[in-house]
Amino acid sequence: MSLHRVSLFSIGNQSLLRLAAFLVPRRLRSEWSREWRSELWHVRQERSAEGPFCWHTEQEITDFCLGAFQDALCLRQQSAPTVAPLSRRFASPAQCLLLLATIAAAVYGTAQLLPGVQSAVLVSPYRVPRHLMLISQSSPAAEGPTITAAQFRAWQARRQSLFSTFAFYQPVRHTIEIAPHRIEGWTIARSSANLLDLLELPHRVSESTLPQLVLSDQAWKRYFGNDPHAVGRVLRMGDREVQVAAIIPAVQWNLPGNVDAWLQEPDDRAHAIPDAAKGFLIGQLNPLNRHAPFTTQWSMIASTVSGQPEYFTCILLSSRSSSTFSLFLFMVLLACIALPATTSIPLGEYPDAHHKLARATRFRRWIFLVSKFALIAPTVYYLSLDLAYMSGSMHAETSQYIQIISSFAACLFALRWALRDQRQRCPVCLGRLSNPARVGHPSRNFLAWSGTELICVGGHGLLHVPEIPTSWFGTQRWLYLDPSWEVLFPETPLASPGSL
Amino acid sequence: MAGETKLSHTAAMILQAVNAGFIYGFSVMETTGLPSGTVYPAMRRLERDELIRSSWEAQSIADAELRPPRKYYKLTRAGKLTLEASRKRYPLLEKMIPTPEEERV
Repeated sequence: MSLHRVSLFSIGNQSLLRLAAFLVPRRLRSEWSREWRSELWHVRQERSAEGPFCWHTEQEITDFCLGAFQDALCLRQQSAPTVAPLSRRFASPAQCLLLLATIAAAVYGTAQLLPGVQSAVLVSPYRVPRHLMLISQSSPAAEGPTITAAQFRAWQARRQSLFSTFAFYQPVRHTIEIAPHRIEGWTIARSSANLLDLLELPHRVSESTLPQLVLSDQAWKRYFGNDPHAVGRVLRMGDREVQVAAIIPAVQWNLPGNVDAWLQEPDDRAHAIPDAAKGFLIGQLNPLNRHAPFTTQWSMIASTVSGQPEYFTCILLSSRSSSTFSLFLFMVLLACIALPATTSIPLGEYPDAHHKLARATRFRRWIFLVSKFALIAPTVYYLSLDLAYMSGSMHAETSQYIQIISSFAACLFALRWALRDQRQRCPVCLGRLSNPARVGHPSRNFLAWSGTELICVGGHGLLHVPEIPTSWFGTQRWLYLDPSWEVLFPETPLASPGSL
Repeated sequence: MAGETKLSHTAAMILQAVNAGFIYGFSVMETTGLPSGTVYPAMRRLERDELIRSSWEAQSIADAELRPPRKYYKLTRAGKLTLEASRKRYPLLEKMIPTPEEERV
């Protein structure tokens, strides 16, 4: 009976070893199994010599076999390529700054590749942006066309003191026959003849009597496949022919309305735009008018076609393009206000009564913190722009909302990380502290401090982080170690603590 | 690995046991009182750091004694130097696991 039990346990132990062998890398498996089977044989022989079947003996042998799993895992870790965890990669200050710089460069590079971001950050594509205003009849947030063609004609015909001239454009859907049997639906802006001249955008004036069509960069790439001979081609738009006069680069248009092309109507045809048709109105400020407001946006009361007074909002075109940076700065301010709610602001206590650190060492610590902030700022700015203007077809208002949310969230997270990272670094070598250990009990908080203790692997000191801030231990405290501790910090440690 | 390499107490105990003539895993376990899950992984690391080296017993010897061959461990030159340094660091090491020469003295 006992012999039967022994062989049953023997089979069980062999199975355990076989199971553990699967954890061992294939190239080491046969030798590893050979050694453990041999050792098991000797263990069983030794223990069996003590007497017949005994539960305690079998338990000891089974415990021996269970150790094979730890051995197998150890071998597996040894032969696996060492991949440092992310926190370890930030260990030295140089590595940390290099990684941040790499992220910043990647985000900036992505921004350079996205045409939407390019047009959003452009200072102003127009030559006299200080004199050009976008006039709308309702709130400035309204993105759609608000000014009627009749209003445009009425103001153009009347003598003005504030504005010297106006230009009008109305986006409409049209079918365009690009080639025989190839008809596409385009958004065409029917504009007054002076629109591109007013904006001073480069375009060619053709001798042709045909209406002039100016293509957007996007439409030229999509429908003409970057064909350099597209200019001069005659296309069929509805029942009449139009000629491609120019292509406007993507970065040179940031007015509302996502249009594929602009149709410059001669003045006589421009009158064909129905009076009730709504479009966008650009007004050029009269430079001689001394009473022109100097703010980027204002409201004015003017009479409409019907003679009724109405509020109009005027926005300086140059302010439209700089709004992305203003938004970012505002979100940074909000993130700074919200920061104390997510983490504590003080960097901790660094008593220097006994250890007077060199001024250069203390200065280096602050330089490191400022460098992190300096790298975080452009990263967050361009990251929010990448997200907001990833898609060119997105509504401008939606893009602004995405930029607001993403820049606030990214800024708050990044600032929080920068402060927490700074607090968990040694003030002497700026290396990341490691080996967190719990000290004390919260229930004994009045007798002794309780919290987490971290250590500098260079042996410069210990960091005590209280779990419950008290009046006598309100913030984390650094404890410098004197040179007598150096014996515990080998330059090349054989293994990390806990490994052996 | 140079002689000034600092070992944990467990690793130093295992190195001392191998030096004392306990040259296979189970005997090291018996001498140090450490479980197999500690001894074998520690010996892998010591071998990786070239403080000990292993070799298989000749098959003919094992066959003659009707048992499977064993894997024996031996200290390297670097291992001896490291053990010397560890003995200064852990003075009780030699008393816990005396070498045969010391026992004769």
